[in-house]
Amino acid sequence: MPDLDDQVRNAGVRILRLCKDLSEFILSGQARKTYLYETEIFLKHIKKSLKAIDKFIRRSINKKMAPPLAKAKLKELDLIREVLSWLYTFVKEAIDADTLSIPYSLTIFLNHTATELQKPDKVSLVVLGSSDLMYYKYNLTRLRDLTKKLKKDVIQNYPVLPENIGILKFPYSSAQEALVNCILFHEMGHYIYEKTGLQRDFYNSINDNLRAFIQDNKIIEKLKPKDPDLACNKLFIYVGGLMLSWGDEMFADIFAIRVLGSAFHSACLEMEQILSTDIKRNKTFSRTHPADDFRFKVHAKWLSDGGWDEIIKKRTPLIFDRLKDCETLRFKNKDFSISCEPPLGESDESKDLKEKLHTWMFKEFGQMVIRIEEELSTKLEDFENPINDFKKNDSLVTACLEHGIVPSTVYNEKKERCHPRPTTILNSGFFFYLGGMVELLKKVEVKRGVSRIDKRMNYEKRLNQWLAKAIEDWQILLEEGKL
Amino acid sequence: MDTAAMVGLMGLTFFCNKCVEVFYKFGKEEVDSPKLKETCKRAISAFKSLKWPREQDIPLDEKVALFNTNEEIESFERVLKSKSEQAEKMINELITELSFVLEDTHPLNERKEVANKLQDFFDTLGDYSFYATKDCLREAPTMMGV
Repeated sequence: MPDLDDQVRNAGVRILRLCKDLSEFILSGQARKTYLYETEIFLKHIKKSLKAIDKFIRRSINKKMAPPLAKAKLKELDLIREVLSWLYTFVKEAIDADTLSIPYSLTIFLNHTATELQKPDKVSLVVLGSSDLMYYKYNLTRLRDLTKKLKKDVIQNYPVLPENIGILKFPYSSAQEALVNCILFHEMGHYIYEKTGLQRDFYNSINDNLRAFIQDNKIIEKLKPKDPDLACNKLFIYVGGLMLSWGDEMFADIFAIRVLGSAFHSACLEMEQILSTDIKRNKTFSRTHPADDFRFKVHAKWLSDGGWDEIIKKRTPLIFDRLKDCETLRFKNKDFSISCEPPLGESDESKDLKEKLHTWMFKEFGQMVIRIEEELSTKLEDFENPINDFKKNDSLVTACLEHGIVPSTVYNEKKERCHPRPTTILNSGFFFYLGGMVELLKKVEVKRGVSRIDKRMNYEKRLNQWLAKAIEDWQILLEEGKL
Repeated sequence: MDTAAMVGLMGLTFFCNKCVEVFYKFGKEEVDSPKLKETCKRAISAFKSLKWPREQDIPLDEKVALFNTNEEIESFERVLKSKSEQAEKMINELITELSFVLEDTHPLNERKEVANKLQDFFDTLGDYSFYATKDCLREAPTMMGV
């Protein structure tokens, strides 16, 4: 067994090699591909991190150390290797996320919208392809904390992950999609939520109210845990963990409905079909997400407030019916349940307490949703309702799509040029996709040997490309001051 | 496996390593350093927050600095059990010892003796959180997913 100093040296050299390989991988990627500005910023951060780790290791392995310090150093090096393995995944995903491999125009529009909303703060939403068939807003809070801890306790010049960077992930196969990628508006909502400070308020109020609940229901007296403080703390982590996650999801949902409109709800349904969600899950709150039907109940309210009701009813009656069904569901009627087990033990007493706790959590969560709605109403007070532009341009966009024309510039009855906003392009595009494709398909011939299914799939793909192009054109016009 | 848990455990190990280094150097070099003060204060905040979140008037950043996931608390509990002490009593004892090292009016040799004991405690806690991180990694080879 080599002595501790040698072990530190060996581990250090292995890490140095990994840092070198990663840096070279980034450089070769950057030499071959083109990236959005936001991705470049992120890659720059990774390169700085690698450089700081490299410098730290070179210093560490040249020192003679006392055994307790060498043992601690070995642990540090091992964990730094884990941090590197984390960066390793990000490096691959970021290098893969060149402009041709991500929903390019939608990403620019997301950054445009987020920047408008967060003024004067800077925003860098990095969109990466995920190997999961799922959309994420990567939770960078803890990674950011880790970089702070690394800087504080280990590597003094380690770069803290910039506050304005957010990472959104989409299923890598959907790079050319415009419609289902509307879910990215929800993921952007998570980013906005992180910046509101609402989570801290919720953390505090859940804490206060849970303490009162524990006292009122004499939970400690009934369960007699060995260590009451730790038992309370665990209960807080359970309740807080679930409710804060649900709050985060509801904020993101309402945000997306308010900022984008009906297309977000349609994208949720589209994604739900891809994942073939079972019916049971629809009314059950999980560890991370509120029940789908609860989310749709809130969607229904906000779509109605936003003026989308009649349009959805007319264009997609089945979706309208489901929304109205969800609207009737109530916590007090026990329409919803929670799939997780609280840390209350296994006794008969705890079963009763579990029931009480979950009922209480739903009541508190109802209040949280009201608070989220208030916050968003205030935050988005001056943000134009997407329905206004939709009402002006929807029929013109639909007419273009029916004829296979990219709807960047449309002409109204007076032959005036109009440039529909990306929100309108996505909403009209979704309604067209759900109910208007037949009109387009009628107009195009089937090549011999191509089945109807293939024809439809082919034109669905084209539709997505037309919509993405229209969004890109709008941005070009915006940059040139022609809107 | 939860990404947050792993990040938390890593942070806890880094902090424990820092404590080992700081208390070791204090024992050897016989000087008070700003690092010693800062480290003791951070550890005191963390142990106080363990008793019950928000019981003490601690800023949120400090409060969630160390023990903010089940896994971290379980790591901590395992150390306490290994020392055959009752949790609450042990936490109070740790807070007292850290405050003793922090207070430079006490005799230096006594402070060094307590620092040596704390070094041993943080070494053990560091081992537990380090191995807990390894367990997390074994359970899930990827850290992705929220």
